[in-house]
Amino acid sequence: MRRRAAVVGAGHTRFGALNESPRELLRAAVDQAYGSVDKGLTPLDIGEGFLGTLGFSGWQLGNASAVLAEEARITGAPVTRVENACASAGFALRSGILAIESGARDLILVAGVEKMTDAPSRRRRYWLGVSGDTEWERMAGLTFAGVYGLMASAHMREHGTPVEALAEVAVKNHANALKNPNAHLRKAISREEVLASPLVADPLRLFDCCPVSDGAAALLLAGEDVAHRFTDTPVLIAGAGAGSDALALQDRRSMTRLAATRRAADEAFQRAGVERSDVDFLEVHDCFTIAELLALEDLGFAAPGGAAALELSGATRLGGERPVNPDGGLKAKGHPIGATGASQAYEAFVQLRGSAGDRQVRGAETALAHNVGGSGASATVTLFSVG
Amino acid sequence: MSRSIVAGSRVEPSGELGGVPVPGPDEDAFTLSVAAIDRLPWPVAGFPVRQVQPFGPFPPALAGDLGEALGRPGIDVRPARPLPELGAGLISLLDDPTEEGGVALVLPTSVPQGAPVPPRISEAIALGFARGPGVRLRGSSLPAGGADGARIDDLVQELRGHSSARRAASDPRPAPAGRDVEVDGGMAWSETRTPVGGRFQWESPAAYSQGSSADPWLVSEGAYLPWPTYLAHRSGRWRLAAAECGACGARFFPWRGSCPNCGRSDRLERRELSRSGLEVEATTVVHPGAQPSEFDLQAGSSGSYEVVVARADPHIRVTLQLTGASPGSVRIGDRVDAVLRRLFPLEGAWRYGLKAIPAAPMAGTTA
Repeated sequence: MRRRAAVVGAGHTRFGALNESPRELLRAAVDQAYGSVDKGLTPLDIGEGFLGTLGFSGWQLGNASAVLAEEARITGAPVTRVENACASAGFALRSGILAIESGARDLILVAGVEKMTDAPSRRRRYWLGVSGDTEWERMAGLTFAGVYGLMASAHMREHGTPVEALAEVAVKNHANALKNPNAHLRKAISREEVLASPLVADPLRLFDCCPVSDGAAALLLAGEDVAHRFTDTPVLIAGAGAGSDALALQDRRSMTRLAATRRAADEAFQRAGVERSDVDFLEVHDCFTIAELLALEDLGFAAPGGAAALELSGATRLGGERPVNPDGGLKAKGHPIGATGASQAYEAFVQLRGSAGDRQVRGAETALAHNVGGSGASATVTLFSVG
Repeated sequence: MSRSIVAGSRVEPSGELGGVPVPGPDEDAFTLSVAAIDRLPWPVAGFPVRQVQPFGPFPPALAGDLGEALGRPGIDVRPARPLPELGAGLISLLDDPTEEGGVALVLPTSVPQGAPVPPRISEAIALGFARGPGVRLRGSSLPAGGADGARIDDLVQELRGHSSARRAASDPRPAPAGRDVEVDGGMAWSETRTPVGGRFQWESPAAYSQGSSADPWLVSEGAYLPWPTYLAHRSGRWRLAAAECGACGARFFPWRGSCPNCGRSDRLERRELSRSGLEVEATTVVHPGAQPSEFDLQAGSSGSYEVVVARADPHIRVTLQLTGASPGSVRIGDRVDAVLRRLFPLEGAWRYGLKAIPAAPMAGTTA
């Protein structure tokens, strides 16, 4: 039987417009992860580190992994920066999982960080589009708001998706974020406020978009056979999958489905040997509200075009049949690009250990985390279960 | 031996201000001239057009690539020159008995004598010169008579006058006074591009000087499209040239070094896609604040813009910004035409590419 990886510790900074530098954010998240290990841990036991970051605004574009080594006090161990845009940490996590599953390592540090709010607005706008297709999409004047606006328009045309369903995603995720002390936007909003907010990239409005956030998250992975050295309640990584697709929307087979997500989900479920019906809650990549609908359809929790009704039914709320983004999602918790994939895994860790506080999903035993790079050029799906 | 004007074409700018035609914010001599030349029948009246002398405020580097913009990569393109020099060049060509081809001359209509030079380029005309008897104008959009025709005739007569005079005098004629053409508010293109080790070194113009275009912020910040990479796809960017694999029949855009379907690279052929009647499959209106920073000038001056994904071929979609129509006016299912427009300035050079305009109604249909 394949050796599985387990999460034995996790840390998470507050997300938002923060004063801390990227180094300080990384250190805070890693220290919190170290502190969360029930039986303690010596950093020098960590065999390898993976850092997810885009390097937003040009901060340490090359060799950023060395910063992780320094702040985590593991200098000497191999460290690698993993960059897949918004899925950077999802793929950093995947690298850590593969290193453990292969038997090459027993203990791995995975972290993600992004510092986005300290750049001037113009530089920020420059960087918000760097992960889209630079040669064609961007030349037409698009950043990701525009690209997801295109996808939303096509989805509405194809399935008659109502704007109320998009608004419901925002309302729900804001309500969840209110219960998450780490969240960026801790403010309840109404459907009417969403629908009256200014247009950003038609049909997407301001409240359909995730904020620009700073933050970091860190995870400690161990082989399941050695996990007991660190904790009696590890969270198992039941299966991990990933996929890719064309960079530009114009080159995809479909503009309303993410092939990378579907492939990643199929691989994760197959490797984990669990069914979709086993999943108690989902952390999905909702950089824009339309993205949560696309995710539910591509992950196989709704038929194509069916996610809108699922959202409007209330089934995805906390307390609903299968909550989606109990931590507030990218939409309200915040989306520090390179940290998001690690943040989602953090949520799975605390939820499956029953320590999520007010936002706890009762009786949760299996969780799914879904991280997307850009508009779907890459995606990871990771399934977690109680150990 | 006499030579004739055998074809001409005129493209009107899409904008108008107080009744005076002005180019749109994304139009200039380059885009209007390319559009005008595009309308010429090639070859002109049976004669191969071998040389194009673009006239107007062209970026010299792009003038050198005009052949690509015209879909005729091999054609000899001479960079823009002031009118007297251009006239002299044209005269020498007219006089040269060994010259077998013709020449196409692109110029703003403000050039002909006597006409006041408007503050902006108002239109561009392409003329095809070739051997043949008499002086004749032909072309679907350029009237043979009337004011326009007369002005062109004046120009030709004057050029011939120069030619005769030069034959009479041994010295080159001094440039006629007052004929330097000031266009586009006097903006001068002064970039130079010199090959260095097989690559091009780009020097920004000393005075990239007009209005807000001079914004020093418009420099790269680490992630952008370098000039040579941009030009590598110019036939795709400017003419929607796609590739077809002769081995498996796959069509793809933009051009890649090997077929994405079968992987072969030895039977790729250029296939220019139709730029008319592309069906829109997705739309969005990008509001100020959601634009990439290269488009800050545009968003700041004209506000929101629409972007569409449109189908150019059963297997090819393209992403185009809408121009010449109010944002939000094009819907999924509508048809658009792709036109060459300038996009944004970066590091002292304009980037050009295709934009979408609402499709011209098809002939034979009624509104």
